[in-house]
Amino acid sequence: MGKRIFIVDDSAVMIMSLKQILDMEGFEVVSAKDGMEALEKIKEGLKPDLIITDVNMPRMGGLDFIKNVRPILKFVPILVLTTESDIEKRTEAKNMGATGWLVKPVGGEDLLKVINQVLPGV
Amino acid sequence: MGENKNKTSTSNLGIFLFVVSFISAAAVGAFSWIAMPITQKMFHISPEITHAVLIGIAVFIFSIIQPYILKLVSRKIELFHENIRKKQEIGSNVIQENLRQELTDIKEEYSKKDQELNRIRRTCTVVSDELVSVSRFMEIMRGHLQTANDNTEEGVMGIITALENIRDSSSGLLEKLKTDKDMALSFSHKNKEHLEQNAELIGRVKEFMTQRTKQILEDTKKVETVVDEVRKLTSFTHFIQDVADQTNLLAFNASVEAAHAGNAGRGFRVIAKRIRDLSNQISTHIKEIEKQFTYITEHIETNISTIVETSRTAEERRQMEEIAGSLIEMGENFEQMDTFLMNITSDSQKTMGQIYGEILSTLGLIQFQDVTRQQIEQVTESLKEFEAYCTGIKESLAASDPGMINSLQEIINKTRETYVTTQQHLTHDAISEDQNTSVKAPPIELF
Repeated sequence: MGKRIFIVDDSAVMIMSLKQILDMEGFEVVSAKDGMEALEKIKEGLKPDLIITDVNMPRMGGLDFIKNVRPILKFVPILVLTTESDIEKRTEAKNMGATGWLVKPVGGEDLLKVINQVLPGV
Repeated sequence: MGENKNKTSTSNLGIFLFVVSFISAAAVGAFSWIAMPITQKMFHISPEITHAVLIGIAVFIFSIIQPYILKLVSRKIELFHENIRKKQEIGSNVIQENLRQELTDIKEEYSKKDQELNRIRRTCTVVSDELVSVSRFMEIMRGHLQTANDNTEEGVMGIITALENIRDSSSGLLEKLKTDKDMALSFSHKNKEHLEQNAELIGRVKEFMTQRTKQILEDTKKVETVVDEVRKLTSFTHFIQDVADQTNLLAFNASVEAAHAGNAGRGFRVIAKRIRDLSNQISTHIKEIEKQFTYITEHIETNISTIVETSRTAEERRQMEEIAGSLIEMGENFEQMDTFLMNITSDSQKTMGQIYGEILSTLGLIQFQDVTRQQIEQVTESLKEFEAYCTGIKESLAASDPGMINSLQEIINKTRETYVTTQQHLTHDAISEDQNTSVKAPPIELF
């Protein structure tokens, strides 16, 4: 089994799209529909090699999720994949420990290129 | 109020006249009804005459009391007029008072209405001013929906284009595979023919080889027989060598004996020497003959068998050459097949790579749905705000209170703060003619 990638997004279409792209490259994909569910899974012992999270989600948004998950997973790269264009939120994500910021829609090849850059051993 | 009193008085007079007329008629009727049987019994006259007489009496009585009735009626009318006059005087005062009161009421009402009208006017002015913003708000919402629609169209067109590319690549590959399949079938048929020919040739060669093995065995035996015969000759040379050696020894002994004989043995010594020389020459020739025998034996064993073999393998060679030719052709076919398969593999790999890339691209394009969804959700939320705003306007118009109207511009500004995409900012700015305040950042950034 390949590296495990954890997708956090409230859009079922986004999860499906990313899962298909990552499946094609042999990654194992786990998903959650908001920050709260994602955090629960991490606390239950999920060990992803990479996290891809949206920003605007119900219950717990992406930035709060990063803030909560970073102390638990100190070295796991976290990519923010969002429609959000607010530069302040981008800076906030960076300060909270995000590894990169990608604005939707992102082509499959571009996404894989970024994953190859941030995920060691791929 | 006075008018009502007059109406009441007129009504009372009418009732009075009606009662007087009714009583008069009743009195005449009652008199006739009571007097008729009595009159008939008393005077024994016919009913018609009785009627006539009674009516005449009644008319007579009525004419006697008529002045009194008329006087009474006249008095009643006078009282009635007097009453009316009094009532008119009272009514006039009341009416004047009422009119004054009504005028005051009307003035107050007018003042209130005027104030209300002013409020309505102010409300309408505010609503009118707001309507300008409604137009802008609607234009912004329309712009967002148009953008969402454009994004949808772009996304769908992208997906369709990618699917078209996949279809074209697949069709191209299928077409190529179909052509290649025909070529492969052609190669296969050719190779099959070659294989059949080769099988036949191999059968023939096998048969030939069986015969050939048999012949070789026979040839080998013959050669071995010849060699044995030649080897037998070698034993004769050994014998001659032995004779030569013994002759040489005898010659030596004869020389020794000749030497003992002195001069008498001189001639014998010459003969002995001659014999010895002859023996040596024989020995030398024998050795040469042995060498020749050895050479001949070897020559027979090698060259002759080769010659025999060569002469008998001509047919075999021809057939082998035929098989070799066929195999070479098959080899060329296989080489072509190999190249051909390499090309198919290469083309398939290339096409599959293209399809793979297109699928990756398509899966990325699907994400437009999430972008569009957020744009439409934002419009939905804004329209909810607008609905509340319209309710405010409705209530404000009903209450004629302009203070109850929220500012649509504030709602528009609030809406702007909820934007998440650059496109939303751009759409808003383009319509509201605001300066673009969104900061442009790269779509992909690694920190």
